[in-house]
Amino acid sequence: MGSSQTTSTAERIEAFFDELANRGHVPLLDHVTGTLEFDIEGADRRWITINRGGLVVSHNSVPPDCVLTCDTDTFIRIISGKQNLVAAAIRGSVRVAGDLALGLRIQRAVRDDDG
Amino acid sequence: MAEKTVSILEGNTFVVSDLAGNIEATPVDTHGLFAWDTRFLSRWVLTIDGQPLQTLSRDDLDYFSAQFFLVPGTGTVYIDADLSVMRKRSAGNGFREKLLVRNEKSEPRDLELCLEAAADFADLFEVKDALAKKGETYQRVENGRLVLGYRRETFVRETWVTSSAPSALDEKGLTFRIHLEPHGEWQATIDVRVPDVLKATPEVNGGAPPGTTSDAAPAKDLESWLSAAPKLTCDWAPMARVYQRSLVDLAALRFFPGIVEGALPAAGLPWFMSIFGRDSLLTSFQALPFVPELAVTTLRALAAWQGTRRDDFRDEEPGKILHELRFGEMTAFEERPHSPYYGSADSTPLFLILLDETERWTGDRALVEDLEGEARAALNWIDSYGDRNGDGYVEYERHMKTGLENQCWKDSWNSILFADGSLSKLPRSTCEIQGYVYDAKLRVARLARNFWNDPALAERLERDAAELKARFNRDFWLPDRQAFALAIDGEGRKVDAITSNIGHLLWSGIADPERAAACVRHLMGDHLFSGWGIRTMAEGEGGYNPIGYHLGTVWPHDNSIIVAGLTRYGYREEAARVAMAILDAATYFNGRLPEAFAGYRRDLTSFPVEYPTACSPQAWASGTPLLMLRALLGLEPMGEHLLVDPALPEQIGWLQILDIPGRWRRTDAFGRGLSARL
Repeated sequence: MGSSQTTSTAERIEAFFDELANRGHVPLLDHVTGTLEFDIEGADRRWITINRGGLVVSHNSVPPDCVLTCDTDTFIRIISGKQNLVAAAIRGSVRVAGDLALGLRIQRAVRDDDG
Repeated sequence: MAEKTVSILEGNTFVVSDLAGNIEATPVDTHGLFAWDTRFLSRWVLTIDGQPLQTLSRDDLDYFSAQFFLVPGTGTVYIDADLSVMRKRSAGNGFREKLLVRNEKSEPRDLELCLEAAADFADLFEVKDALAKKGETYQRVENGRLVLGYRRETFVRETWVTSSAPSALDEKGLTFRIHLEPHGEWQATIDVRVPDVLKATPEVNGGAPPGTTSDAAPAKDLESWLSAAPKLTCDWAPMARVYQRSLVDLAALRFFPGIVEGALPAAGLPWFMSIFGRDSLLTSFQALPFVPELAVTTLRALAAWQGTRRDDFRDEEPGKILHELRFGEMTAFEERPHSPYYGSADSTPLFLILLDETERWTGDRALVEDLEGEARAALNWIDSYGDRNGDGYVEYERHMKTGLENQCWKDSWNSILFADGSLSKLPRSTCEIQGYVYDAKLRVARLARNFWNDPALAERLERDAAELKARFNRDFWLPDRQAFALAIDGEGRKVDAITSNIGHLLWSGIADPERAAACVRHLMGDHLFSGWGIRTMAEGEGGYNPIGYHLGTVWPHDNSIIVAGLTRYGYREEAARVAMAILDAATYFNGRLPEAFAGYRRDLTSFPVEYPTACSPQAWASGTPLLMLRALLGLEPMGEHLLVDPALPEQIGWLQILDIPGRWRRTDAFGRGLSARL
């Protein structure tokens, strides 16, 4: 992957989190509360705190209930709806540490997106 | 039929071995240690001094443990062994095996005991279809532990084997060199562990269902499960055994979905040890008066997995309730769509039916309030994606070839046939699904009015339901046959075979009374009622086959729904007759109803002939006696009380169930039979 693409990859990831922060509330997560850490290889770490559907995206460390770890390609595929998160977790291309239910439910926030 | 395998299970793990406790998987012997839809051991063979052992006896202690008594030798008529071997195995996150070897001679002896271990890590789908692996297996010994592993890209599965006694470990297994004094003993405990496949850092007990970490825990758990269930007594002696068998099998089939707390009924052992929308919902419905907690977990788990987007590979659509969830390799690599797969047209209305029914029984207001959003999304699915062609009925057709052809409960490809035996066209709207939709709308109207403060929605749903009922009774009716059509097919034709599906219409209440009466005449006629139960398809239809999967066999769960329907329309005597036939059939299977049995006439076979199926126990077969009991005693929640209105078959003089849980806390029900009343 060339450097210009790498930049655009980083931008897409950034845009995804910005969009989530702007959305602020995801009705499909109304029953969900907890903090997720996204540990995406080659990107800055991000924390999303969900409080009954309300979302706050942070650049600063928040004690997470669940950590999702994956490479950038996988993450881009997930946020653009090309990769199913559950299949990725079963396959091990996304690793989920901590609260599994919280980790898998985040797909409800990313799915409607075409990052 | 002599059994050739021993199966034990606990939580999400099950072990299938031969009668000596050995696991020797071959294409025909589907032995193994299975978890997460993957085989974590395909060989586990015990030998002493290179010789196999033979079984003196074995004991299925409970569903989670088994014991094997073995001696050296190879099955001669005359056994004169001087060595005893006991092998006790308990399942749970893998299994634990206790070995005991006793020298029965008065001289000391030395021997070599070997446990050969290997794992093929086959996906259950591969086991069923005999497919080849795409990744590499590996074996290594590290820190006193044998690791059997499999890797395909990022997909890694491992089995860990450790022993309490000193052993020589190599890549093929464990070897113990044992010295035994005269009449001396040797013991070892071997742990075979399956790490949680969805955890980034595998922990041996991470993600384990509660109470599986020690040997005693499952036993205690079963004890408390049984002691919490209502107590049944009955003058028809087999009833207690059938009831007990149902409760134990439902305990065994508890599956811990992980995404929410608690357990729900998996569909069946061994192939369907997973969440299934239709099976988990219907089994939970059957079990509501006895173990209502299954329904709560089922609803919450299915809500958590509810579809949120269009995904043709998975037949997923917003608001749709899943069909099946799997964790194996083929699902991981999207060679199969089960992550989860949504190819079921009835799970969504059944979800709404169970939600309302659960509140009626348990008074669990929080559940109905929590799941309001999911219930509304489910309703939207019914009216939008569910009705693909806008004709006012829910129909189905898979989007891709990897999906299911039939997305109703009769899910074999050739189940929806015309009277002449020819196959109908897709998309199909089967009749029972329209019944479920009718029932679901009326039930959700109640929830909208009583809990969501939305009388406008309630009124709309009631209008919709009334309109659907009128249309359905017009469009699906076959005047010539005096029955409802099995389906309307993709060319708008009424699929005119006479089938058990018409019984489901009584359960839902969609049939007009006079049409219901005509259906009852069919259901109780010799062409549908075999004497052992109601056939899936009537004798005399072009496609009828008494040993065809959905073409003439008798399915106990199907009969339980029909019995509930007969009860709803006031056909109590008929309901009692069918219920008694099925309960009677259960006595021929040690109290455990099979998934299906042959549709032969009762006077042709003196016992019900089991359909050769791979699954036993099957959840909704296990739940069947429970729904039958509810129907026989006429149990219906009425406000804060439980209404009891018994109508028993003549074989039963009296029937009593104590401590029925519900919004009334605990209450009792008692019924006298027709003969006892005279």
